[in-house]
Amino acid sequence: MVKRLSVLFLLLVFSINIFSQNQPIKSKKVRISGYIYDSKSKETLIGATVYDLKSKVGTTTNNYGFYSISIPEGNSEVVFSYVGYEKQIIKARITKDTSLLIYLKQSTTLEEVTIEGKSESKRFIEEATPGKIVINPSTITALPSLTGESDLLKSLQLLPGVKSGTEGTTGLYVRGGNIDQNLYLVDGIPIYNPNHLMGFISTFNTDAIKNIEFYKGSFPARYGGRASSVVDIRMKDGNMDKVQGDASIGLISAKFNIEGPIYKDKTTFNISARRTYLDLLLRPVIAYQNSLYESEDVDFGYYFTDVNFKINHVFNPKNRLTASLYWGEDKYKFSVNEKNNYTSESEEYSSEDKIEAGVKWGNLISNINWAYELSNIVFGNLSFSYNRYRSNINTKMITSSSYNSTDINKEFELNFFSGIEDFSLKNDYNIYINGWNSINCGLSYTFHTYSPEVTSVSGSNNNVYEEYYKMTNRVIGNEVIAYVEDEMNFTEKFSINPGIHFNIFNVGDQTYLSLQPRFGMRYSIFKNLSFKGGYAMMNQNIHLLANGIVSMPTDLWVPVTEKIKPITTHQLSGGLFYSLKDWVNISAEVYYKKLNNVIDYKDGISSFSTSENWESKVDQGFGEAYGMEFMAQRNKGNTTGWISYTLSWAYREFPNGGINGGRRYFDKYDSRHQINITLIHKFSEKFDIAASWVFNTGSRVSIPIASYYNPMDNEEDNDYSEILNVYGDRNNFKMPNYHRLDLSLNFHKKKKYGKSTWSINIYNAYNRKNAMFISTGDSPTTLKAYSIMPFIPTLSYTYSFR
Amino acid sequence: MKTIKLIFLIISTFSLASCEYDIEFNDKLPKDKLVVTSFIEADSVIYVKVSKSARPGTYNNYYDMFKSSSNIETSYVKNALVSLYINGELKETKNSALINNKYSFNYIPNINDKVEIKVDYNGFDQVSGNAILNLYKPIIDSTSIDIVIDSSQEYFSKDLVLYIEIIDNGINDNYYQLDGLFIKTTTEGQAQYEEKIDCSNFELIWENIVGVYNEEALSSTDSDSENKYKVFSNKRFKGKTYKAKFIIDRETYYKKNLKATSFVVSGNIFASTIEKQVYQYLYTLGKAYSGNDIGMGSEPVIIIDGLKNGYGFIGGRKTTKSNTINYSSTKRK
Repeated sequence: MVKRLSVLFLLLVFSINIFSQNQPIKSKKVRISGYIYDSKSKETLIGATVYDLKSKVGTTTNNYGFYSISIPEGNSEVVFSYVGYEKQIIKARITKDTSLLIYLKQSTTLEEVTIEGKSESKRFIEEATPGKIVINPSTITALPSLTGESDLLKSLQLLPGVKSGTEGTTGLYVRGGNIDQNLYLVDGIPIYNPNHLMGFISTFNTDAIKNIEFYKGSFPARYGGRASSVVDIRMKDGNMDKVQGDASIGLISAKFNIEGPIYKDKTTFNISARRTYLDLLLRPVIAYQNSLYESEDVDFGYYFTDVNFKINHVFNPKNRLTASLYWGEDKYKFSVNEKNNYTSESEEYSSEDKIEAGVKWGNLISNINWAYELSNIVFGNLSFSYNRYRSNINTKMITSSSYNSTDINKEFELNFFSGIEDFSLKNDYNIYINGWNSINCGLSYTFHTYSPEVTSVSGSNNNVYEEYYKMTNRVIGNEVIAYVEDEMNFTEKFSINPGIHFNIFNVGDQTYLSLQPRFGMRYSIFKNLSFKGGYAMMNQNIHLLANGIVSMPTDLWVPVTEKIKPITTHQLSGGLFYSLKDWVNISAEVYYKKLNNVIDYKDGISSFSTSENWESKVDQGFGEAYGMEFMAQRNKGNTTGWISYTLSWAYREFPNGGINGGRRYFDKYDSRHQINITLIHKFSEKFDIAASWVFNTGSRVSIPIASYYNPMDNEEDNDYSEILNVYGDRNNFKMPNYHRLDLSLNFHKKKKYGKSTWSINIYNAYNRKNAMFISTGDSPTTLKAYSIMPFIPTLSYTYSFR
Repeated sequence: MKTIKLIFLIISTFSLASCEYDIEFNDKLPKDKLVVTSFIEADSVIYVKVSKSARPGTYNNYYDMFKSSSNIETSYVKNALVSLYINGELKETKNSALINNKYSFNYIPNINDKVEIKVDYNGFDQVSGNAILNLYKPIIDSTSIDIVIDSSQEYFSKDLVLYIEIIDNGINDNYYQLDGLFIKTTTEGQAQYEEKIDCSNFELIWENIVGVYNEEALSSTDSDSENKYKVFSNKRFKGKTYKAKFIIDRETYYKKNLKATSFVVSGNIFASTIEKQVYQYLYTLGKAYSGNDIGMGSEPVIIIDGLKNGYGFIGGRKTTKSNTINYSSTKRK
């Protein structure tokens, strides 16, 4: 059925194109193309709008700021616009294909001047992708945060249809999906573990981000590999004009971002870095403790760090090369060293026991990208990337003792390694066929090496080495992706965006093929009201074996096998989008999602177990999710923000019987009602405040509802009968409702060379005791709830130099 | 300075406020139910055990240090009305237990009978379950016992290993249960003593088709088998022969304590086919046996009941008793 649908799509696309090309030419067309930049930094602008007032056709810039549009020959009036920038209108007589480089100035007034053309509100109405949200990085910076560190993923948790997992963590559960079903792309390269600090902070340094697009549904065909959402992040290239940057320090971490030209108007760099200093703060305390105990030395510490580095070189207007690197790491260490000695007339004894443990995990992504114009209607980019995620746990115990000159030395070492390594080659094209039709297509190949678990246990006894245990679990995968999507704006009222995403995934002896149709459409009922709908099939060839509570270095990515098939989702979504006099944008959307081949640990199986024979520890089944999302958002003026409400259901069912007896049950993050209110108010250039209030009905846990003595225990030993707990169903209990208010107050001050900002963040301002987990209580009719995130104030200081 | 101290104190008070609290749960708990278990076999006496459930935390585990010892007697239902129906016809009722909470009927069912049992007790919903006595009689193809000795460590271990072959008929989805009863007679010098080996701890050490006895088995030599009630299905060996080795008894002692002994083991293996609802209950019960308190890292085992309105199961069983298996340690020498 899917294949037939896919073939129909392709035929539709090609026939429409052939039809359009065979139409008699009514008037001669010329083409304008080029790049749109920020006038100060010369940073390209992604998603900027180009709109011809005469022919009423428009387009947007691609990920490299490139646009190409076909307009009637003669006198033209073309509007170039972007959110937060002043529009530019080019009035000229254009009689041949022309290259135009546009530099837009940031808007100094808060009200967006809308005379004609596409305002941001109009784009909201006319974008043919329901389920897509574009986020401004400056909005993320202004929002309150847990540690004073602005966080992209936690900002996404404030959107409708997105649930957070464990409190304080960055997990995203999007429209009934799981935490491993989100695709995070950094300049087109997927990142496997987007977390630091056990999932409490994301790996994305917002200072280095240029653009963020978030998709919950109606995924364009260029995306694939994960089942539930896409977070497409584009990093800054660097200021072409001058060196500028920011540095900030908070209670637990410090960071900086510096960007600027290496060769003016040709080569730029952008570097940002971050590090916590919890380990440094604890050093004096540890040193003091060690000074109190002569025979024992203890050391422990934790830190995370990440670095983003990018160099961008423009050879000429048609060719640019970018090299980028992301490296992030979390490191934890612990050691104890204990010494003992004893001397008497006849005996002499000494010993030293040492335990050293270290845990290290993180990502490394490097990418070389060549963006080029083949012609004024074809833009391409070719990239080669290396992507690595790994975690390593090492524990060593060393015992040395000496008794009356007889020495004994023993060593024991446990080493655990897990990782993924990818080499990818990708080629994408944007083809601007005419004023109302453009095609995106691409091809990529990835060589994967999956090492879910490599474990070794070894030891030595008086220098005689022995390997007790070794397990090497390594799998090679090959993946080929091809896609084509067509953006067709038939009229101002009606546009569609069909596409096909094709994937071949080979791992070991197994090959999976997947043809995934995608479709989005928009119909404008009135000028300010449109209906949007879409369908997307998504496919995912890897699973994350995780505990689902916090992000652990022992969480394992495993590829599909013969027994464990890829996850596929089918999602239908649609809704009404209304812009109220350019003052506020309102949307009401419904969705239905069917998930196939989702996996979960069977009843009674610990998620902390090893990956050995993992296929037998999990069961594969179905999921179903549906709901409604309402959102009202305002993006301009002194007061911006949004209010959203989500009503949703999410279920799981594993018919094989390994989970909940094969019966359908509520998903862990099935949360019926969700309300988010986020407001940012700018009082003046010196002071602004942000508040964020979240409410959702509690997520679900499994709680015993009855108990009885095991009837199968030995009759003669009744005193030794065990008590059994009865649960009824998995996830049978709804946790108490969750709500929380976060505040941030930002005090700005102009300095000679820039601006300084003091930020006070208050997490959980009214100290709501939200239950993080619960257990059986002291009496048969009570449960005990534990909350770990009380009122938490933080302070940070940022200096921006320009 | 004072103001700063005050602000710090307020912030600290909030931050360090109690993070544990109680949630009332009573209105979300279902009514208590009856717990009923019964194996029903053609040409055998029918026994039915009836007890009752309670709110979590009501009953005491025997190992609860801070509570009084097990109060299992409080869970017994000794005067329920238990009714026996054969092929839809009421045959017999009992309104008092024979011993503790065990009821028995005089009526003996026949092969192919449809047996239904209903249990009524004041304040509880009626519980019912049925069994159809047309199960396939399992075929035990071969059995033997051997001794495996491990003397590589400081201690000396002697495992009594049972070997068994079961042939599946290949027609239906069959569910099996194993059991055994052996008598071990040990002679030590002039003394002789007997002990019963009831095979309550079958420990799988090998199977010809991996994953039959324990779905999570890593290999055919995996001994980490958590199948307390020794139940398995023919999902992986339909129409084939299943061969397995189990340790049914183990003796361990230090080499220096080794004494000259000889022993004889004699007994039988019982292989039964059971109805699906019995298998589901015992399989999930076995996985849940070690206690499934709420904890991080694993979801609890959901026990699948084979009854209407109650916990437990009522189901049919068909048993094959093996030929008597004998083993003598002196012959081995």
